[in-house]
Amino acid sequence: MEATFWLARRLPPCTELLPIISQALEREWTLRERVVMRLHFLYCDFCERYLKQLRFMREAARTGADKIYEAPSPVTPALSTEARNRLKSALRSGSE
Amino acid sequence: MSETKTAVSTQAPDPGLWVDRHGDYLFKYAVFRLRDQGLAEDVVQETLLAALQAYGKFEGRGAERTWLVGILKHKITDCFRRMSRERTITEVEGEEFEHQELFMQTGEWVGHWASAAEPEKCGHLGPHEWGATPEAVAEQNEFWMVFSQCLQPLPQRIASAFTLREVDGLTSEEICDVLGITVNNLWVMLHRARAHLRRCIEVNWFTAERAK
Repeated sequence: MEATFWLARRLPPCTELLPIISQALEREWTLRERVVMRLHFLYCDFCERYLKQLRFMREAARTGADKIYEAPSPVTPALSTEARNRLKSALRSGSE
Repeated sequence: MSETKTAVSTQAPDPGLWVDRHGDYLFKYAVFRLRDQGLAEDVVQETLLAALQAYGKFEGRGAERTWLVGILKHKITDCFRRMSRERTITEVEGEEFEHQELFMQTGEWVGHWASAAEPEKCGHLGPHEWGATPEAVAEQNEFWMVFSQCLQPLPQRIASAFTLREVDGLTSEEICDVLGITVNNLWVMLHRARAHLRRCIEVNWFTAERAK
């Protein structure tokens, strides 16, 4: 516990590390960042889990997000009858 | 074999049928990225008109929907480019989506994940164990409803950046080009979107699922 506290006082807090954790999905960490993160993860399971969950979200999004357009949902509504008719008449005049 | 191919390619396209078969799918696809129903309807119309003109090149190869989605992707990109030309950003909005309330505000552990008010219940505000695999979660329609609901409160540009990166898998460079932003701005936007979405699906899906 004391060693943890000693370490924690010498490293940036979670709020400052989270943007860098997010960037792990964009680029490789620098050597310095890798060292800081490894030390931070020694006493912060939450931040380590946070990184895993960001990767989890990416993996889920890239495999299954097309469900969003297939299933009926109140968040992403389907075309209204009016919109459907507008599209059809635009296409009719476009094909003539 | 060659007979069927000729039969398909000489068949006149029926765009009305496209609207019936793929209209909802294309529209939802566009709404999810552009987050504006009017704009989405416009790009779907542009897509179907372009498809009508390019129909000769399609020749019934592959799935009709995949072909239409391919055209739609380009139209959505064009739309983002038009929007980013109209307004440039100097500062990224949406700082509140970093959820500062989840962290200690004072004391020796300031800036670290906060423990909830009642530590005897082992409560905390840090990330919880999700206990699921991405594959299993991805198959559930209800999960995607929560997911898209959680994206709603985010500012339009942040949500779009997130979708282009995490769902469509565009590179950072491509997204910066399309949205007209710097890579540092993009990283701030992605951080805010991820921080918010992670928390939101944890509360509304993973914790809620377990409580059932």
